[in-house]
Amino acid sequence: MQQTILVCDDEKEIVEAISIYLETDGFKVIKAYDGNEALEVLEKNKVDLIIIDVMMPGLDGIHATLKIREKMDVPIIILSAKSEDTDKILGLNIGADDYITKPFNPLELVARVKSQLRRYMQLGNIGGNTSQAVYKCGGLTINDDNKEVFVDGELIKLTPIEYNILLLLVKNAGKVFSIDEIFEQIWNEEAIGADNTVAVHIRHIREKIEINPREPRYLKVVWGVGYKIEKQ
Amino acid sequence: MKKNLTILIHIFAVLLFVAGLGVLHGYSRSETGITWMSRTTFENSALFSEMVADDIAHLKRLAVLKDAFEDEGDGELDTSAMVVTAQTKNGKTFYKLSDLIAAAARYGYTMDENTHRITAGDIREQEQPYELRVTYKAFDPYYFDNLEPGPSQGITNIRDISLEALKALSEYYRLRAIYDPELSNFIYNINFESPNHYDIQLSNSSRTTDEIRSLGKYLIVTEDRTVETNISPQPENLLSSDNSFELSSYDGNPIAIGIDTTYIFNDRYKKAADNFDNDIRTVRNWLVVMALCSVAAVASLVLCIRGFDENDKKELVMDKIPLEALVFLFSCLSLIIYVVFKLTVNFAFEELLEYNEWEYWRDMAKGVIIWFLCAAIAGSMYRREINGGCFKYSLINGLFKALSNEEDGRAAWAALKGYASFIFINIAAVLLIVNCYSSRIEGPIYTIAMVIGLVLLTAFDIFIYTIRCRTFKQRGIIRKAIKDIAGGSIDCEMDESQFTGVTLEIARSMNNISVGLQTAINEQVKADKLKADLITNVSHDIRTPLTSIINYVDLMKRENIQDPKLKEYIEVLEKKSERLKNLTEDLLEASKASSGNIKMDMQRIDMVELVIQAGGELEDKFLKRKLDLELSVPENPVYVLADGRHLWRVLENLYNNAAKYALEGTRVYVSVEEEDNKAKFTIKNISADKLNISPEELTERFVRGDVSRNTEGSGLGLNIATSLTRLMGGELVIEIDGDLYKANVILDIFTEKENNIDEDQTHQGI
Repeated sequence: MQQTILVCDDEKEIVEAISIYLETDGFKVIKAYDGNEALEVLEKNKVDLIIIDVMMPGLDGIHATLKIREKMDVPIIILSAKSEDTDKILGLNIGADDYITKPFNPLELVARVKSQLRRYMQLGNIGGNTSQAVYKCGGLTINDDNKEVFVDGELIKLTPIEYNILLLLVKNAGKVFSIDEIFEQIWNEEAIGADNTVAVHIRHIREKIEINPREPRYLKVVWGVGYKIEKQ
Repeated sequence: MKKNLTILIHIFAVLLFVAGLGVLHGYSRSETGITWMSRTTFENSALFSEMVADDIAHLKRLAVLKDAFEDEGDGELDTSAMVVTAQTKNGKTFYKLSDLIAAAARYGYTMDENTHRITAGDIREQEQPYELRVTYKAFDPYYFDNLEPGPSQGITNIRDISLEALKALSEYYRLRAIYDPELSNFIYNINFESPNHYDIQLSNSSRTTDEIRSLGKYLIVTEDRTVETNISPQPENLLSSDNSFELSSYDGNPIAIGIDTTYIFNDRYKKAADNFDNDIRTVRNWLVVMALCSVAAVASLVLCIRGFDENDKKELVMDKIPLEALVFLFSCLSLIIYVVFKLTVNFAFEELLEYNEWEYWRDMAKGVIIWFLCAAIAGSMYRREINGGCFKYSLINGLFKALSNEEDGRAAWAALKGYASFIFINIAAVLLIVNCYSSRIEGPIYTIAMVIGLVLLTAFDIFIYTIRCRTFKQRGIIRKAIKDIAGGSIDCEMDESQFTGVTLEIARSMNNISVGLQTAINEQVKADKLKADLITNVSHDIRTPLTSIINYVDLMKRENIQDPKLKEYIEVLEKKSERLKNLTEDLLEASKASSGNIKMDMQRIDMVELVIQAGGELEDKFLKRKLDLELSVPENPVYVLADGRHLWRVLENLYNNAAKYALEGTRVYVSVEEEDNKAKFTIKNISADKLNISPEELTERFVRGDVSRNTEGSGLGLNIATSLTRLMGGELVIEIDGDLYKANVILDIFTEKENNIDEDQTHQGI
């Protein structure tokens, strides 16, 4: 089934470019050039995901998102030139599911769109699994019976050590582990310090499970303290 | 040398002059001053007159003694004469001369037969001399006339009264030895009337009055009691009746005294006359010496002062001391010298030598000291004069100078006006009150005036005091305001209503400064904010078109273009758009970091953990360029207080720089150290390119080690790192030593006191 995505931005060229990428990947795209237009489109069409710019004439992205959230829980990705933390927090707090800053990598955008759709569509599918050995954290799912890791429903291949580290962090989601703690838990040996083995493994895990490793959603670095999986 | 000699001559001349003064002083003692120099002969001198007067006094005394010890003045000693009448325990007792001589002998006093001197021998008898009350002494008949009557009058003892009598007897012999001889230049013919009503005739010559008058110097009392004499000044004591007998009016016998001025006999008059001539010669010689000395002294002094060389304008230390101070100093000095001199030499003269002319010499010493000090001052004044004015270095000149300077002068005048009037009013009032107090007996009006004056003075002083208090208070406020401004607080406007006069002026100016500063700082802040806002807005505005560029370049890439030229062009576009993207991001970050417009979430951070994490994150970049990352960290955590994300950004920039600019295949050293309560992160590498740039320039915006070679970075990395480190209270220090590039991040060690962060607290990451 072809999924429909609403792209709303006052820059026609950007809307056009995003449409090209999404259509290439098989999505149906509806275009809108300001907030009000986007709301009109939503009245008439069934939309699976919305990509919306913040700064637009007429109704801006923030207010449009607020209005949309009054009626439906369709995934919303905010696309903005504002990169400040406060802008991101505002956007996510009013109900957006993701926040992408301009200029963006088109591939990353598509990946995020897919990720959001998978989570939205398959919500509850994996959760219905009766096995006790399943750990979930947002779009991240670990099935310890099969030693399988899914991100937004997609199977990720990890090495045994990577798997063990991720499992440790997911089991204790929200808790910060220092490098020494991780080392002692995984290798069952006393940490001898000054070794970046763990840090390198963490980076590799992040590269595999995150869309943008530099801005991880799941595996976060607490600089100077350790690592943790964000509780979601 | 010449000068020293002159000084010595001067000292010698002055001392000699003073010595001469001393000699003259010695000779002038018997006279008044040295005016006697004008009288050329001994006979006309006061000395001569005094000698005659002495002789008359002696003759008078002799008359008394003759009356006491002789039988009616017949010239023979009568030892049976009643000499003393006294009241003893046995009643009234009369003592004969012989009794008293015997009594004196019992107590060891005897008189030599020939010389008539009294000697005190051993007291063989231990008998206590008995007391008695003398009622009459023949050898001192007027003794009681001059005393106030009283119960103790005349009380003495036998030993004392007998010694007294013996002394009188000795005097009797001595006077007779002088005046009895006829062979004398001193001729006299006098009659005294004894209280016992007989005449005592004193005479050593049978010459008549006329003969005596022809002797040269004479003194004749005529029958009508007038004095005829050619002695000047005239001896007055012959006619006076002080404790002596009256001259008798014995008829026919003239009362006459004459001195043979040819001095045919070698007696005391002759000797005195000879001495007198010698004295005059000596004094004249000394006068000549003193005149020469004074000339020498003045000449040498002038020479000393003026110097020998006209061009010698050397100034001594004392020539630069203010003149008034010099005079004061020398006065003190002379006083000190004089006191020391007095104390030391006093002892020598008075205690050891018993020299009774010491007082005189001490005064002379005082004069000499003052003379030399004055001479020194005079010399100094001359040198001052030739070196640009006598008063060049003087308090008066200083005062005038100060007054002629506009600022100082005005301040001095202002201070003086207030102070002088205050002092004047006070002194005047105190004087008035004291005056009223000392004359208050004269009436209540003065008491009232005094009380009013006292009250007014107190009121005036309290008034002045309150003014001072107010000024000090105002000054205190201004001082505090200045301190505040100096301390960085610019908002310190003072209420102008609490100031008066000059302080009001100062306060107003201070307020203006404060307002000016505030305006300037506000404008600066505004300008900074405007700049930051501008950069933020511009980078936002750049992003939207940049998004399109990046996207369409990417789309073009997908269009399966075969033309290698077009492919190359697209690649360039892709690279440059990517660089533009990085540049805008870095620019925004640099702007925020340098303006401090970044929220810092300060936490306890383990530098060791951070360095290992960073190593893990960036390992592949180093591997790509075959760089070996050498870690050297302590075993224990090194905690600092910092914002983890921003500290990571700092380290990331430094690591990236090392990864970008280090010489391929070399080692990069990273270390964490703890020293002096500071944590120090260091990264060093060998630069691939020559570092022909200073560390300071490296941290400036848009500067890279070698601009031409690498176009990848924005050039803002070190600038951002520096700003962020500073915002965390740390310091980023770049060191360059040849090709060795070294970056240090120095942060304060985390202490529990600083921040009580619960260790289990969830840390906020990205």
